[in-house]
Amino acid sequence: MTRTYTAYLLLLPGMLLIGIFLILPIGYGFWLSLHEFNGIVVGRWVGFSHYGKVIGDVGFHRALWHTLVFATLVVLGKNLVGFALAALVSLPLRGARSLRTILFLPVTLNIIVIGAFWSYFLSASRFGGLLNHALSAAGLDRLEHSWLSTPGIALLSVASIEIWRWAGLHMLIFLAGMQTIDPSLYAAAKLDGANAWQRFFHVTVPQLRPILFVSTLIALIGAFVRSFDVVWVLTRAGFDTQVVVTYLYTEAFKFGHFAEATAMGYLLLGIVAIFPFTYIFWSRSRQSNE
Amino acid sequence: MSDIRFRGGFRLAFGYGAMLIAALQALGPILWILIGSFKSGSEFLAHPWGLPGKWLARNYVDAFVVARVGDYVWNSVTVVLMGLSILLLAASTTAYALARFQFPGRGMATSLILVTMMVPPDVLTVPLFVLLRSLGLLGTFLGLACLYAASGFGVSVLLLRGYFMSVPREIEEAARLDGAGALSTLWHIVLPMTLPGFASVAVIQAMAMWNDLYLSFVFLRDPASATVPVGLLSFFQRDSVDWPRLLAALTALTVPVLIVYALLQRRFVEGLTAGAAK
Repeated sequence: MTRTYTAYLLLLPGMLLIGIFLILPIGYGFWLSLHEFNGIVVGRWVGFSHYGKVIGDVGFHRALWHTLVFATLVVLGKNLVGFALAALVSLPLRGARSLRTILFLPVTLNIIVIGAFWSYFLSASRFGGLLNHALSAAGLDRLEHSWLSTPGIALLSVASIEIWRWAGLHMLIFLAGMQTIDPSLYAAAKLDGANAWQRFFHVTVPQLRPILFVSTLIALIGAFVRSFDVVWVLTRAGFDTQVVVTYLYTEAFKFGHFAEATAMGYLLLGIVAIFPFTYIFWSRSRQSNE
Repeated sequence: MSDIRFRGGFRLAFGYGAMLIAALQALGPILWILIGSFKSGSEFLAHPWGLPGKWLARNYVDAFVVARVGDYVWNSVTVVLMGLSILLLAASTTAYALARFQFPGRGMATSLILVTMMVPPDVLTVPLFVLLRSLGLLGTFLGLACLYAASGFGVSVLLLRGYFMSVPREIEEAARLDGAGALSTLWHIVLPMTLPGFASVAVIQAMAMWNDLYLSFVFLRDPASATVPVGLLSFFQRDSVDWPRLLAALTALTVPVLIVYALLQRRFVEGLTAGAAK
């Protein structure tokens, strides 16, 4: 009995913290999203009409489309680059271990450092932009662009920078996954006469499937929900790079559409949740079929 | 994987070439801000990518005296220390309860924690804004620190619980028989024995708080209380940026993080991958 009592006492600070700052807002925000709300006064019950408004809003369609494009690029890119880096630093070459340390560095950088470097790197050559300068020096003037403000290209640039920024983290995730692979699998494959490349593709790659799910999930949440900083710092979320999180911020704090912005948050959450649930459902039904 | 043989100079050169390119792309931005921070304004515009002819320290003086970057650093340090204290206190007690106690509602508490890990504070911007305002915490360091602590809570509890469970029960039992209470066992026995794991959690969370832009951008509305990223954002998104001065500020803020990273590298790696590998 006293141990139960002690356990509750130990839980108290943590439960208060998440209770007040996460659980309560989840419920309270949902309740708000069903009412008229101008940021200060809560008005009458309006049901799901704010959700309807957001779903019918052209600005939201554009932001959602940008988010989907951005997320697709980022998820593919982080996995591919992260995996390639993990493979590179696993090579039996001198310095490969210290390279891990270096490759993780961008993850620790402040977003303003990233913003300052990349916006300068990608600026017009008359301002000293290295990429455009190199392109024109190579006689490829046609390829010169204002990379962060040209429609259709700006979002691609931001996605590339986001991939660059987090590749080191995904490298570590894949490395951690490689360490969990049972060494006897390699020994068995070797006995069966598989060469190094065959072992890589037939042992390492399939064994990494669970870790690929983790890496993808982290990349997905990052791309859908935590992309405000990179988009805002590099482009101030202009017309062509407006994603759902920046649109949510602008709608609430620039235009005072607090109720719609609240509803938008829940819609975004619902959209992100589709992916892991589909995967779990799919892999369960696959397992039961096998 | 590790026994791929590199026969022939060509393959070897290819491997080292790839490693060199990989190292350069990761180090490039850091070297650029470091070198640029020592240039004069005119030299920076003339040669943004080269080495300075004369190394100037004046930009650092300007950044701290004129642009008052020190104030932002102070604000950030305050918020991070507050957030970290709240987080570590709440997460270690919760993790200890989940690691060592059986009680009704244990499953419920675990699911609540998992739910909070699925809901990033970004999607709750408006309800959090209203809540902080009605608690009188909007625009305060304490309010922001609580948000940081809450958003890092779930992952920290999971990691700490794993570390705590690795402590042999006999040692704790002995302490209990000697009359030590749960808190004192946690503080005097379990925490010292799991210090590396505890440090991993602290380092990763401190880095996330230090680098956060969005939450402090939204919830600390007064420019005087801006944290480093928010303060420098206004510096950087001007029509005419004083680049060398900005780079001096950025270097001064990045170098301490790099030193911490170099010293505690294994803790970083552990804190970030321990959860993923499970």
